[in-house]
Amino acid sequence: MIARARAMVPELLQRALKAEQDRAVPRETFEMFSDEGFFRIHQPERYGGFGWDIGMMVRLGAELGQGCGSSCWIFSNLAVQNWILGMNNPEAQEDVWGDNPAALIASSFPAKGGKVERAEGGLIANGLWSFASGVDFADWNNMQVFVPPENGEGPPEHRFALVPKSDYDIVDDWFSPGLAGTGSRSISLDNVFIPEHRTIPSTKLMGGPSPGSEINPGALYRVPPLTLGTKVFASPALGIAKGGLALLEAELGARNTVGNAPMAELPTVQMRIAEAGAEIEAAEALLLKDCADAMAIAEAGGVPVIDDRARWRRNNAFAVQLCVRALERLNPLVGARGLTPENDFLRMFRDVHAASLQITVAWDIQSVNAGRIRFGLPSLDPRV
Amino acid sequence: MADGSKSPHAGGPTHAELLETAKTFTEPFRARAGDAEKDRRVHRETHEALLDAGFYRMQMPARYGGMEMSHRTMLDVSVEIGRGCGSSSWIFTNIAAQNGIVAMAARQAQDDVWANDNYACTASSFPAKGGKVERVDGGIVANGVWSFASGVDWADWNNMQVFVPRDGGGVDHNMALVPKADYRVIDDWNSPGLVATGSRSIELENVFIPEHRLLSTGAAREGKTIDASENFGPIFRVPPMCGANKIFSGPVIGMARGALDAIERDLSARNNVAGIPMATLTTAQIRVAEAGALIEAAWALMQRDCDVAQEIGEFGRLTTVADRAFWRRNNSYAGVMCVKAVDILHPLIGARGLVPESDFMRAYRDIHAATMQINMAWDRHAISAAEIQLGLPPTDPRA
Repeated sequence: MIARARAMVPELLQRALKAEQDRAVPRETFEMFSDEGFFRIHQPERYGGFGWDIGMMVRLGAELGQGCGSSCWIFSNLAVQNWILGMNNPEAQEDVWGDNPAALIASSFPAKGGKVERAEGGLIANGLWSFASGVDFADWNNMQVFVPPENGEGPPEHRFALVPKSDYDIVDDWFSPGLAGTGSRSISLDNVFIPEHRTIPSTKLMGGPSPGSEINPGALYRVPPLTLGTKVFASPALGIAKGGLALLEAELGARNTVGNAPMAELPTVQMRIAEAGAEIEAAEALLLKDCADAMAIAEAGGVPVIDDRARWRRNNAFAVQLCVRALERLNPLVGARGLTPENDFLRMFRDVHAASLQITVAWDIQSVNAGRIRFGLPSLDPRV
Repeated sequence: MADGSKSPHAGGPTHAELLETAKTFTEPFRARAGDAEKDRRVHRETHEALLDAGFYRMQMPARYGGMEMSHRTMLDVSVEIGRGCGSSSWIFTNIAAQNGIVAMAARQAQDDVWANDNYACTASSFPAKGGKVERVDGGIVANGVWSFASGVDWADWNNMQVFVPRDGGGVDHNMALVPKADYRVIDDWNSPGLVATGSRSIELENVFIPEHRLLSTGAAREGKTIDASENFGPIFRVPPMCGANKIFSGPVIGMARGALDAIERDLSARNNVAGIPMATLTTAQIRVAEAGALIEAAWALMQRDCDVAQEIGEFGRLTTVADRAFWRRNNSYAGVMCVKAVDILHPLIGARGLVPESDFMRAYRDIHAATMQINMAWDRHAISAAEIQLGLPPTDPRA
């Protein structure tokens, strides 16, 4: 499967400009991923998925992202939701996959003010939920919601809430300068009732037994998605950075300066290429190590402690920082000749920067929180 | 099949068992580190603890009672030890790695060192102060000073790096084994960092070294010495001259962990002048987080490269120029990351840290000294890797 992902890179690279211009991943790309089973890597086996170790997302992302960051982002975001649903209430899994085990789920966040309120037997949702990466191909949306406290006091409860696509309209509001091709549009809901069993509090997804792990016994469904699962955003960043480095290695190997000296022989070029390479490999090693550590804890029947969870988020954000730094280090090597709309490296540069703005990989936030946890202070984020 | 996690030696310990033992050393070694620095050598108790635990035999051939453990085991053990005392970890990896290098030499050389004493330790040295060898009938003759002999206080042998003049010009880089009776130790190690390694020089006067005690590093790198050594285990296919061991980066990661431990300990219990707990300062939190992430990334990178080396060794293939260049690049980059980590933490220690016994400041000094070792020199290994990345022929004679 990794070899097949690698073989797709030239084709993805060829279509990346179109994806960016259309603000959507081409349907051929989606179908290619779908035919290879990429979206099913973490889906439970009882619904025809592969139930693979979470490191697989990093390994596939590291390949696909080399061709098109946006396509890779759609891959990882749809694939991760199939994992998260595997941890959800069995009834919710049946709702989504009972009739169609190939059904896909996007996700969204109420950045533009979507609200839920409690109702008899569930929640009522109203307003906009944003950043729904994969919404063009999804049959469901797993919205992040903040449920008001029952008695009106205390903080709201963070949950995921599943809605079918018949319950929302897509709003075409994705005009990002980076990861443009993801088409991460908003969805709009008007008085939508969401039954209780389709909602799950994030406190039940902190590692260890989950509601879904009763029917999906693999260790994967006892790994915490909100902390370890943030690989969904780091994996494309890793692939994008690898792609940017590969482009420049090939280009500089064949380019001379105005003084007709081979660029590849300039020590300044060599230092940039070497350091970017080392940064990217360090990011990859760190991501895979955390995946392996989390799987080992789950396989031994253990439950990760908050220090693990905060560290995984920190490392994940740091890996993205390393990828961003790598492409920043390489950027001067493009030269003014690269300043064209179709330049692949500069698209990757825009994409990796856009990826790094996702909140779970935002270094300032994750570093402060991890530092607090190291000093024994309470977490600032309820999802850690 | 060996996966590098268990010794092939009957009844030998596992990776996990060795790691558990290493963790019991961290605190006592830390407690002695200040005195060791003052003495410019590690304590005899430290050496004996390493010897008794069999740590020096980690990469020795099973035939002589060694463990033939993976580079990964040696890395992880060196990190735990280095967390307590960087110099002790350095002594451990340098002696243990020499046992792995002696294992590359001809069987007779191995018998010379271990046949009568399989606890014999070997240090190594480099002719930085101008030691010279010349070719004679049946071997070479050595004269002069060889330096940086980390572990010389405890060693029975020294495996010197020598440049043997070639007929018609040029030199061959060899390792040359000499027993301690053949050299005199010169007390010239007055370094500001890694002080306790006591990496003194040795002096030789007209010492004959027979041919069978020489090892061509070029041949060893290409796997051409395996048959004569009669050591066929996975680690001997991916020896230190390929850049597969983490002899220097392992201790460095340990030192950085130790520095981070010291800061976390200190800041958790300290208020600033305004009475605000240091731990609640956002700037302190970010520094601790970034240092932690850098150190973990460095360690993860080294673990991954060790695991890849083990796979290559077990598969039975030999290393390529690209394998070696990227291992060396990553190895020195792990050093860059750890230096960055302690530099990020440095402002948190405050002027109160400016005392000889500060654990943080010792780790800081040690790490800066350790990264001067030529295998850790980023500029050099970055360029060598970039040549491969950019499709140029390698310019490093040891590529």
